[in-house]
Amino acid sequence: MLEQQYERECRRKTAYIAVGLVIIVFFAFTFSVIGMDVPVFQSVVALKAYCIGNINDGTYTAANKIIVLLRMPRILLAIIAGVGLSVAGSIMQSITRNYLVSPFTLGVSSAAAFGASMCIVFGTSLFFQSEIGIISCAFLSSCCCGWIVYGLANKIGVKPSTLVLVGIALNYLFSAMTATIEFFAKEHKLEAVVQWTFGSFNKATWENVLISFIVVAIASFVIWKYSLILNVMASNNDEMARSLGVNTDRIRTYGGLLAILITSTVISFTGVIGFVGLIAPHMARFTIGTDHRFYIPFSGILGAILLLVSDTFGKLILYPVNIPVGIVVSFLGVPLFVHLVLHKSGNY
Amino acid sequence: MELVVKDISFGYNKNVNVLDKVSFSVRSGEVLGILGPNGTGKTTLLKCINNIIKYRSGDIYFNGQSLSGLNQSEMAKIIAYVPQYINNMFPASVIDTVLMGRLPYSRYGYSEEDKKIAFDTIRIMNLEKFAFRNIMEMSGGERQRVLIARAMVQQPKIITLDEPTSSLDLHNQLFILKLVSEIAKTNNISIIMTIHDLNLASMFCDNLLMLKDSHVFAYGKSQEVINEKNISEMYNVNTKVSFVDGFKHVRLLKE
Repeated sequence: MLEQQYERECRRKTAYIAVGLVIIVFFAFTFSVIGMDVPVFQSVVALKAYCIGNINDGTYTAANKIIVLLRMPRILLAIIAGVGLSVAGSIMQSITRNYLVSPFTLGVSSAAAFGASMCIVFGTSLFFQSEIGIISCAFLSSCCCGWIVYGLANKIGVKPSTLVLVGIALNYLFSAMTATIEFFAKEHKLEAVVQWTFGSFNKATWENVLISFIVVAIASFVIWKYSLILNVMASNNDEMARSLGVNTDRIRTYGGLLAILITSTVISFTGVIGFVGLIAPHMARFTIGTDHRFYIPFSGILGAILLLVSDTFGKLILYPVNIPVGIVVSFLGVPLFVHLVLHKSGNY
Repeated sequence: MELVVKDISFGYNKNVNVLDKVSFSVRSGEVLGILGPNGTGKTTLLKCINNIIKYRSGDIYFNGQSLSGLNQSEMAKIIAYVPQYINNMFPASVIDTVLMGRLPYSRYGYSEEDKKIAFDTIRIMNLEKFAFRNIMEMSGGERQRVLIARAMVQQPKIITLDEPTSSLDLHNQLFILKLVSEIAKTNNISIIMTIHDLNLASMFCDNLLMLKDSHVFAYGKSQEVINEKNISEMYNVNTKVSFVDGFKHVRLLKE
């Protein structure tokens, strides 16, 4: 009886994940052809044509190119960013046992913005003025921030409060340094910096998709493998977790570094997309509970759906003006999140 | 099987020792109660035994083998810890909480055997009807039962409990202590628990360790350790100790 009930509960949670995956696939195909006068599954045809190298042949050549070279990378980057930021948010909340923590609490986003703005404003060589230069600077800067956070936290023990406080302090420091750069920047460069900090998928390419996919997939899989340990970390204090055989300092360090790696990679390509890393984990927890074996994948799925819908919404709502996804996600996510808090927090 | 604690010392800062050369031993199936005024290091001693905090000097032996070289996971297979209270930020269900006890054995996924051990323990502890309930929605006594169930699922040789009856009503105090001493006898597990109630300690503990000013003040059979002189020196209160139903009974005097 108990065994059957437990298996039923596990199957229910697996079903949520499966339905979430189906929704992502459905949205991906639908959004790739939205507003175009082509068959619904043209994206499959276009992708196939692109892979075998005859994208210039066939009936819908122009549409195929738009789908494969513009829309598909954008959609895939939205999915990867959603998964990455949500998984990073989930692990950060679990290892710090803090509702208010997101992937950006450790100062990673401010550091990335600082790196990108340094590159945009002061970069003189060809490399620093290129897209890859900005991405590299943002990535290195945010990794440096993570290294400083853990370096300082290590001095007094990697406790949840230490990580959060040091992270918040660095967040303010990097924000102040970015503001200083912006204050002295020329107008056209200031515009580029502000555009970058909005966060969007406008510059998505297949190369960006591939790199971010490799990082997010590997790091998320490693995090998921540690689900049982994360269950203990999230719902027990450090002393209890240690008595159950968990090396809390080590898990907090590795978990935090993986979250930083995911976040740095994603925002280097997309700019700062806040909020999703905070609310998707909460929404997942409201729906599916705290068992990380199900909670981590479901959180990633919700993040992907949220960014996918927000990005498409941002493109369509004031067409032809393209509103950055970083803005839209808050407008769409907040009402949904508040609704969940009001109706489901009793079971949380 | 025997756990021997030998000359354990610990301090939260360099100059002050919370525990100073504390020694005692516990055999299988034995219940040891740790008594003492607040702040004498009872909980700290339990944490040292569990390797939650690292003691400064001395050593702990299980079956003659030092535990100091073991990692956290190996320790968890020998000693389980039941805290005084649990305050979950991200609460889990009862079944998930009990399953966590299998972590020292299965770090990446529960086997069928893990699940069987957990489900059987839930049935033994009469927790079936709460199995899918959030642990934070349960009463103090029920929560304590869940934590003891988790400790049993760890299949340890020793279970340490930090004031298991604090904040419980009389019925639940009796229920939990009966359960604990039954676990000790039927599963041949050593129990070490901190406790404040001298009458309950007299009824349920085979041996008692009294801590005062970081030192062992008295150690021995419960019925020998509990006497008016020891209680007066330890707590600075007057009591009348008598024998009731074969156990020492302590009555607090007003003056």
